Amino acid sequence: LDMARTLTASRALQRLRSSSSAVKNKLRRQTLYQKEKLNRNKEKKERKKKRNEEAKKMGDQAPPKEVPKTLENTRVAEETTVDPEDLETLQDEKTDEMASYFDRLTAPKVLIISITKTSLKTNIFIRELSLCIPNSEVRLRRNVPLKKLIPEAMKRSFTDVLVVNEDRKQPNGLLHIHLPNGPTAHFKLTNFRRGYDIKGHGRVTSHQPEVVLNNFCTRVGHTVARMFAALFPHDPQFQGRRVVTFHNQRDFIFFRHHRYIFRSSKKVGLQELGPRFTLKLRSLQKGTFDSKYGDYIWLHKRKEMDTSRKRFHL
Amino acid sequence: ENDMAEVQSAPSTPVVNLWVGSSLGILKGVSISARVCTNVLPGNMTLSEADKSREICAMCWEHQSKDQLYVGLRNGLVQCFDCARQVFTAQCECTDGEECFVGLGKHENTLITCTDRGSLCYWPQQEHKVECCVGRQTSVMHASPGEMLQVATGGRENCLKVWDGRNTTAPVFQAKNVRNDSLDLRVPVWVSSLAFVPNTGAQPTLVEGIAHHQVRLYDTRAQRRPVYSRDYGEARITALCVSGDGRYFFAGTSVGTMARFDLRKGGIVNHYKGFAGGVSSVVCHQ
Repeated sequence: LDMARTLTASRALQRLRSSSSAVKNKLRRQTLYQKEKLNRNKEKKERKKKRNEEAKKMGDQAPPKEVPKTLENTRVAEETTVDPEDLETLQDEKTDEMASYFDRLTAPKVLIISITKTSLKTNIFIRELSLCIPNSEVRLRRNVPLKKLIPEAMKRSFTDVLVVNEDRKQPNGLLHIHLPNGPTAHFKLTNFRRGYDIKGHGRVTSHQPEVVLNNFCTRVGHTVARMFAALFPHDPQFQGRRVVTFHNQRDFIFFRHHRYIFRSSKKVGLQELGPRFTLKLRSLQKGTFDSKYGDYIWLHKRKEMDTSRKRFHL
Repeated sequence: ENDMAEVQSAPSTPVVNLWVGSSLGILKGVSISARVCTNVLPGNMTLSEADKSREICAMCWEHQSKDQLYVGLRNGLVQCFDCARQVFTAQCECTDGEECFVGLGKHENTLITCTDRGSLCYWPQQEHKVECCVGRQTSVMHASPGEMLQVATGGRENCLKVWDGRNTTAPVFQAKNVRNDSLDLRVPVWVSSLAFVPNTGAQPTLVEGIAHHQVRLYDTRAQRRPVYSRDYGEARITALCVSGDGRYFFAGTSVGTMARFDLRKGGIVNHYKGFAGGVSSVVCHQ
């Protein structure tokens, strides 16, 4: 509320100062506004220069550099944020559905499937995804309903099923079902760029990649992160220098696939490989796919949850 | 963090208002006014031993008193919890862990358990039990709040049945399915939640929530078919409870919508917002 008040106050002050918004003639108003804008930027630069000079003069006694407020650092404290020292949550995670992967009892085997008649972009996406995830298989859907597909996948000892949904000839959704009784995560998929379209991209090798999971703080976030981790083999082959990143920021999960090289102890070179896409969690359902009768652990309800720009759920 | 297996409400004591059972077997005492939650573990179990086999599947109060709680675990144990001293006192093994509890009840000295395979057991003593089969797939069992040894069960293709412990050969009341729908198709039966309307005597009135997003009211004195059947939402009704005065009932679904219904007419009074996931349990205090 405070931020909103200062914003409206500053805008009101601006309007008082500037006369350009009151001018009805568009041409005159535009030229006046351009001048005002130039002046404003000039003043800002002068203020900054002055601030820097004063800081230099004061040396050690200079006030610390102000950090701009971002949505990330003004994030509303989420009640379900996992405390790293909370033994109960630790135990809960240790005994969740992905425990067999983390206890090294099962190795991942991923089935990637889509809708019955896919278009070119979705085919490309599936192909790139299967190159990225080791030990994955791509199969045709052939009009099989998901509820029938899941027992068949379990029979063939798959540990995860990734269903790519398509709309308007573009991949737009990803359903991640962890088997045998694991949670089902439904994501919205956007901004898919294939490796070929990325400038300076590299070729994917078959080395087992390292997995980086960034910024998953809440309990739901932890579950989702564990599901992602369970897609990839346990031991990365560092010789391959391949890394897959799931970076969560503001509830959007950015998927990136790179090859890295350390040029020195501080400098790293990155070459982007395979696909690049963004995911947003829509729902997390307990058990395998059952949208009608299943229990939902988390469901995105826009009107109830998106009430604040600073509240995030993962 | 943990799945709420069931919530029970206690009259406002200074410390704990609510006991919640979690999926790790930890009983949590919640003080709503102080916004504090205390974990209670059974005496012989440490946190590192807690796992999903100890998930609390069913909970019930001691008969007509709220100082003891019975907790049914996934591995077949039923534990008795003393609320005042906040300590687990006794436990007994009721099933072998293959079946999961769907309901617990305590009337006088008899413990009543029901499993998802339809095995309804009355335990007057720990070793001796009276068993009856209530159907192959049972999803819910509720013990009557007032009537002795009266229990209602229901499940998938297992219609609502009211049982009396004194005569377990046949149910006292067996509901009839609603009429065929507008396409003359049989309406499937899947009872996913139940609640007794308090103070309705030996021939009770019950509210039933079914997986096909409907709530129904049954008056066992009047007819076998439900008195009314109302659609609510598009998801399975997972939680039901009736208010103490019998005027309203609350229904929660698996997608996290909850509403208060007027019991007599079945109309929605108001909705409740703010659930992130499904509603696992609703309780109304008085």
